[in-house]
Parts: sequence; structure tokens; C-alpha cells
Amino acid sequence: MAWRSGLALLLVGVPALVSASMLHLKLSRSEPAANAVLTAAPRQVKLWFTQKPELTVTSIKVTSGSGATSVERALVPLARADGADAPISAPVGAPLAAGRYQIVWRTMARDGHVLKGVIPFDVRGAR
Amino acid sequence: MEWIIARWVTFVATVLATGACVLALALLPRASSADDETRRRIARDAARIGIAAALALIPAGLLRLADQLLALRSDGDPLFAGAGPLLMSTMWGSGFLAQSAATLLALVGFVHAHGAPGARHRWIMPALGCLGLCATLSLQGHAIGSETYTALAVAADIAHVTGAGLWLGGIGVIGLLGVAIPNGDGIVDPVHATRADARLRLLVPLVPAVALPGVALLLLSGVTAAVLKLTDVRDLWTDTWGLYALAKTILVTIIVALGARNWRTLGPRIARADGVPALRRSLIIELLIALLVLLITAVLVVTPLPGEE
Repeated sequence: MAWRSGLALLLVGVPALVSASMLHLKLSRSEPAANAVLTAAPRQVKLWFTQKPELTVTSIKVTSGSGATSVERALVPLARADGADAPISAPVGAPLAAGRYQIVWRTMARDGHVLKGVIPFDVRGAR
Repeated sequence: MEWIIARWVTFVATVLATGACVLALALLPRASSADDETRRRIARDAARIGIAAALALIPAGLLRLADQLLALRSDGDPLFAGAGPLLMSTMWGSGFLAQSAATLLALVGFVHAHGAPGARHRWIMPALGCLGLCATLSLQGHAIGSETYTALAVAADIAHVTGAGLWLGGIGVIGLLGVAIPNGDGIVDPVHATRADARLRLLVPLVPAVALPGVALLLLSGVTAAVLKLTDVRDLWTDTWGLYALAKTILVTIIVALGARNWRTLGPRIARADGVPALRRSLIIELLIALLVLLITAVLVVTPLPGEE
């Protein structure tokens, strides 16, 4: 009887407990948020993920425009506090002028799954 | 696609290498009707299969490393620029290094066993290498990516690969040992053909000793892993990952059915003249389906889980 109870727990109980528990790493939110219009240049970028990403292979860049007026700034150093919900944060450095920008990010989950994304935002009236 | 093939080669080679150890350590000692020289020759050929499998793991591993570096590379960076951080400070890198060490241990062990194949103690090193391979594959899959039930998911993955090695690896190696290779003119040497038939007659009746625990381990761990990954049973026919998992389950069921037929129907007829060809045909079909199962497994590893698409 014990094995039947164990099998029943496995087949019925575990799905109820672990529903959607094994989902991959995903970006949950960011600062600046996607399509945000900021009245002041951001001093840092923060990315929140659903799980702890591999920080050492993570990269965050801020890009803008093309040609001679283009900006591509790799943000370093990246940091992440110990808390489960802690974001990856990176300083932007010199203030961004008014314009349209993109945060181009790339990270990796513990299982090697690589995620990439682009977050557009605008800076208006910044000095 | 080539990266899926690299994973497929990794799975096939791991399962075959494990099967070679299973044959030498668990099946041959039960072959009481065989003389020492026959057992020694079979063990030597099993060691050769193990060497080939371990060698195949090297390019497959390098391809997977290149795939990972390409995925992480920024435009204009050299391919190996990110190799240091990837290998030295990520879970994926730890898994890769552990797999490389296990591959090396298995390769050296198989070469060592090939030198004196009848000596069982020489098979301990490749067996440890293969256990390492079975254990470390889970460090680069969905299981380790989870932050909840990680230990259960990793244990299920390890049990799944080990079960596959016991069962599919065992019959895979027996299948390879029981096939007489034609020469350049397409003619099978009668001596080789007779030897291949004799090997099947000797080894196939011993298969249930490892196949039954292997199948049990594979199914139990497979159900556990599926339960951890599915959000709803309907994922099996509505989600891409679920459809692959369902296809894999159906194919495994067909292999189990063919194995049962070999054991109960064809096995008892193996002493007859027409018994071996029928058994060989069935075994080859089993192994071809097993290769397809491992290909689906390679696809499953990189397919988003239910709820992620």
C-alpha cells in the first residue's frame, strides 16, 4: 500500500505543489521601464529577473541613434544584492542628453539558457 | 540544428559508454555458459565501443561550448573572449568542466580496460567516468535552471540518464556486438557472422537483469521530471514541449513492447536457426527507435517549458 500512496502523491500531489515552478529565467521589470519618457537622465539602470541570473556573463549597454551621433555605452560595474528579488544594477555614467535610447541587455540562466532583450526609453528636457 | 545534433551525440555516446560498463560489470559475469576467452573478447570489444563513445563526446562537448559562447558573444568580440567567465563562474561552466573531467576519466578507463578486458577491476575507472557523465548532464538542462525543487529535478535527471544507460545502453552495446560488419565488397565473413550470432545467443537472455531496473528507473524519473515541468496535463497535446514529451513517451512504450516481445517470444526461439535473424531485426528496430528517442530528448532540452512560449 505504501508504494501506491507514494505514486498517488507523485502523480497528484506534486503537480498541485509545483505548478509552473520550473519556468525559465525571464525579465520581470526594469528601470527605466520599456517606453518610459523620463524628464531627467537616469543615473542607473536596474533589471529585475524572475530568477537569479549569472552575473558574470551579463552585459548591459545603452545605445542611441546611428552614425556619428550614435551612443553605445557598456555599463559597468554590474552589481546584484543577495536578496531573491534583488535587481541587477549598473551606473549609467555621464548624464544622457535628451533623445531616444535603448537598453540592450543579455544574461544567462543557471541552465545555460541565454536571454537577450532591448528596452527603449526617451529622455526629455535633460541637461 | 547542428547544436541539437551535438547534444544528441552527447546523449548517444553517454548511453553507449554506460552500456559498455553495464555489459562488462553486470552482464558478462552472468554469462556462465561462456568460456573465459569468449568473455574476454566480448569485454575487449565493449571497451572499444566505450573508447569510440568517449572520443565522440569530445567534439560534441566543444560544439556545445562554441554554441554557448556564440550565444553570449557581443558583435565584434572574439569567440573565446567570454570563455573564462563562462567556464569559471557559472553553473553551466561547472557542468561543462565536470563533464569534460568525466569524459577524460571514462576515456582513460576504457583504454585501460581494453588492455586487460577480462579483469573486472579495470572497469571501475570507466564506470566511475560514466556515472560522472550521467550525473553532470543534469547541470546543463532545465532541472538546474529551476530555483524550486531543484534537488528533486536534478536527482530525477540523473536517474533518467542512468536508467537509459542501463537499459538502452546495454541493448545498444549488445546490438553492436551482435552485428557482423560486411567487408568492402558487401560480403559478411562467415566466421564473423557465426561469432555475432553466438554473442546474441549468449547475451540477449541476460538483458532483463539490467533492462528491468533500467526501465523502472527511466519511467519513474521520467514521470517525476514531467510532473515538475508540466503546468497542466493538457500541456501534453497543446504545448510544443508537451508534444515532444508525449512523442518520446509513445516511442519508449514501443521500445518496451518490442523488448518484451524479444524476451517472451523471440528469446526462447534463439537456439533455432531462424531465431537469431528475427531477434536481430527486432533489436535493430528497437535501437533505431532509441536513437529517435534520444534525438527528441536533445530537442526537449532546448525547447521552452510549458507556459514559457
